Amino acid sequence: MATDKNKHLKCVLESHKIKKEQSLLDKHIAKRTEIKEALEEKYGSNIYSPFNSGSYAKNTAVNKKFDFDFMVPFKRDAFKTLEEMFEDVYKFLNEKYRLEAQVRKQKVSIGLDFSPDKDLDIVKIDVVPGRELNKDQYPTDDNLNLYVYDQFGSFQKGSDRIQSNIQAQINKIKDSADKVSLRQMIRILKVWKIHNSKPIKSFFIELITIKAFENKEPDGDLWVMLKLIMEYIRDNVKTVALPDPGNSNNNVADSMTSSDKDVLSNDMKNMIDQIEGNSDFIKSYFPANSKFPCDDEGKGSGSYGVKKDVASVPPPTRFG
Amino acid sequence: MDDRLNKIIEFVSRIDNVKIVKDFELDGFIIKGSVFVESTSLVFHVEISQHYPFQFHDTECIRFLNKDLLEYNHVNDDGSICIHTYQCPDLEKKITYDFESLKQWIVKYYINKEKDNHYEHIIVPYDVFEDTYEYFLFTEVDYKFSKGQFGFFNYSNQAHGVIIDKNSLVNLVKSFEIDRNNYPCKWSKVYQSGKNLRGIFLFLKVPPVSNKRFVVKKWSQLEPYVDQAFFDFLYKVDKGTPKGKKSPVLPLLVGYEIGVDEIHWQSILIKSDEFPNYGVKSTNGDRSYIGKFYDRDIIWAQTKNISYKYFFGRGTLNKKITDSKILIIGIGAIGSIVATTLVRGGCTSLNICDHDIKEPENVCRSEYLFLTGITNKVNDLSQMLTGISPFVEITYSYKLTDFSKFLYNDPSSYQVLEQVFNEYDIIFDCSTDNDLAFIFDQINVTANIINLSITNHAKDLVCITKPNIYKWVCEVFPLLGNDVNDLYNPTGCWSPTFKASYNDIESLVQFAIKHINLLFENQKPISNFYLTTTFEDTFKINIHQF
Repeated sequence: MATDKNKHLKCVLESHKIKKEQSLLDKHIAKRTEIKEALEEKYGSNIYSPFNSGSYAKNTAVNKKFDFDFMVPFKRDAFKTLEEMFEDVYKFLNEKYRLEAQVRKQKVSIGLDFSPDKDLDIVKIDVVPGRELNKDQYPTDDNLNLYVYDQFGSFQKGSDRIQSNIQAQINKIKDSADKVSLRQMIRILKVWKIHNSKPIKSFFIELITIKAFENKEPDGDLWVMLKLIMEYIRDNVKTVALPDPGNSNNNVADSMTSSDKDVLSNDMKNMIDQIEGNSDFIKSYFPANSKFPCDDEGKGSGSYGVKKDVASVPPPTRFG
Repeated sequence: MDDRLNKIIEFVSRIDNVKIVKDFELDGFIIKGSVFVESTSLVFHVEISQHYPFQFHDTECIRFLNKDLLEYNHVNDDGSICIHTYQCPDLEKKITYDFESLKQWIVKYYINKEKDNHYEHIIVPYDVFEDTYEYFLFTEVDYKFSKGQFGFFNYSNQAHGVIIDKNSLVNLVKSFEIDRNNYPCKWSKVYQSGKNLRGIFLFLKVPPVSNKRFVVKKWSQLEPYVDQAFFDFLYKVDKGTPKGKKSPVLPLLVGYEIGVDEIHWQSILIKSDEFPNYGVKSTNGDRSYIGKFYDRDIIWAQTKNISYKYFFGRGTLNKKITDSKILIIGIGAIGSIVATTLVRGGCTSLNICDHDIKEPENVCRSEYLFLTGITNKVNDLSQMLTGISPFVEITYSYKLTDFSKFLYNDPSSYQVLEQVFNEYDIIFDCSTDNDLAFIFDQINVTANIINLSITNHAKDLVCITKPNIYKWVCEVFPLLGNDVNDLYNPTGCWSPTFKASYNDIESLVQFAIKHINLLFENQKPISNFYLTTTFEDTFKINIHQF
């Protein structure tokens, strides 16, 4: 029986709602507060107030592979160089948390993956250190320089800086995402990215989805809208410019190579073709979170009626 | 016959700048004559055999000969010119084409003295020795030989065969003994092992030739290339081995450089009771002897450089695949075809894994041979793969799948499991084992996992990669209309199997490997796809990408 695509996408959104993981969310908030207080104690008057900068702050989070991005703005005089800033924050966090978390240097952040707790929940927080451009300027312009530890799009490893206004980035997404339909599309595409391990930055998905809406605001049910967005990405990803709201000199589109863009365009084409050919494929590309099955899909249809993260249909007979 | 002769004379007479200087006449089945090519003053003896204008065993049936041209490129030992011409069944046109080709050779190699970019081997008149064509196959060795270096090498008989009405004996050069060290040739371990025979080698640095390209034919012609130290060595080899322990023939490998960092060997067979050297007293007044060679014919055997780049010179899979450590789980129809394709494609590191036994009924649609009986699939296939390539290292396991399931039930052992699989760069899972697909989704495997399976009648092939292999498998197969009712149930068999021929399966597997190879070549990620087949007037394999 064909899958009702619109109904399924509703289920995808519902099952991936962040509030479904309230307990995990609370644990993230508690750990973030602890890190915030530790950093404030360590660096005192050398930092401004750290703040959430990830999808949670932008209202585009989903409850699968959930993490917090945490921006730590330093004053201009706190460190001589951005590298020194990055290394010092890493050293501090590593010393403090190495027994309870895996602490590692990432592209522009320091990742903390805490060990599973008694409920087997894992708290993941990425701390992003940044430094104001000029002394006392941050409170007025929100601009920060980040250190590029590892190759980041067109920014080379060891680059001194990415100048960005994280607050402006958050606001751009958050304001745009006030449109319910746009937020839904971003979240659905993030579900695809997460479930299929696609190496695309969420920020890229957010900006290109906004761009697609600016090009032509989709109208219709969830599938109609999603298909329009996917068609836009398919047709434009290789050429579209995605100015960074935090720094118009940065083109976020440059964070993907030409080959990556080819792959993304093909992915969109293949998804549209396959789902239009057989609506059941929508479940493969955009699965509901099996931890929180939808009532109507979970029962009766046999598709999401399992509590564990496994497919519910009987294993197929294959030959080889 | 006269009519044919007259036509040939007439057609040759019409060719511009060519004049018949000796009439064409029939000699047995061969028409012979001579022509003069104007403006060059070259005279060629021409021989046209009965098959002309057709080719005979890929060679031309017209020969232009001039022994004065031996020093020029593309001239054979008998003075015949190697021409590059065209196939044509029409006698007149063919004669025109062939004489045009001769003129092109004259301009290119006689007048302009052009040299080809690729290396042309020296011409060696290989001899049949005791009714046998003997070959020495060699490959690279991590050692830089210097001029005049000599010593022993080890070899083994690799295969006996027949070439028309003669025998053939193929030997594998396995190692060189230098300064009491053994330098192995870069064959796989299987080919390194086994009983060794001993020969001697001499590295000359330059090829021993006359007329630039023709190997010397007499031992005495080798003298200018050889130091006295080698004569002493040869003398000791001859006199140092008791008669009863001598092999009838002692091979001598003669090495020389053919380019930057590349050497070539030619082989000479020395009869043990007819060593080619002798000594004459030194005229210095001391008691020493000077080594000399007799004016005796050299028996040249054949050598072939089959190092990796020549063995696979005609075509390989993409380097990203061939350089990978590869695990194949499940070596039934699909897995055995994948394995042989990878090995023929140049892969050098494979682990094959299957608990199953090869039965005679498996042979018809997999790579196995009936000849080798009933045996473990891994043993049978590893032997076959090693037989295909002398460069592939094959390891195998009967229990990897069982081991994986055993460990999976103890989460603390996940790391061990991950370590096992992370030894590989690419894992082909052809096992159709859904449990294993599930396990792969749960553990952190860095390798590219390529899960291949087919539907009944090999109507479709499904290729699933990470992540969510199990989920995709579960969702794709039901959509393909896999008919699991029409299975093959041989009498008394409790385990029905799918219906499909070798041709059905192989055509899909090769298509899939072709696609995967192109993805590697174009640096694209390996993503899920499936192949469907249709027949409406023509057979089609359609690829659908997820």
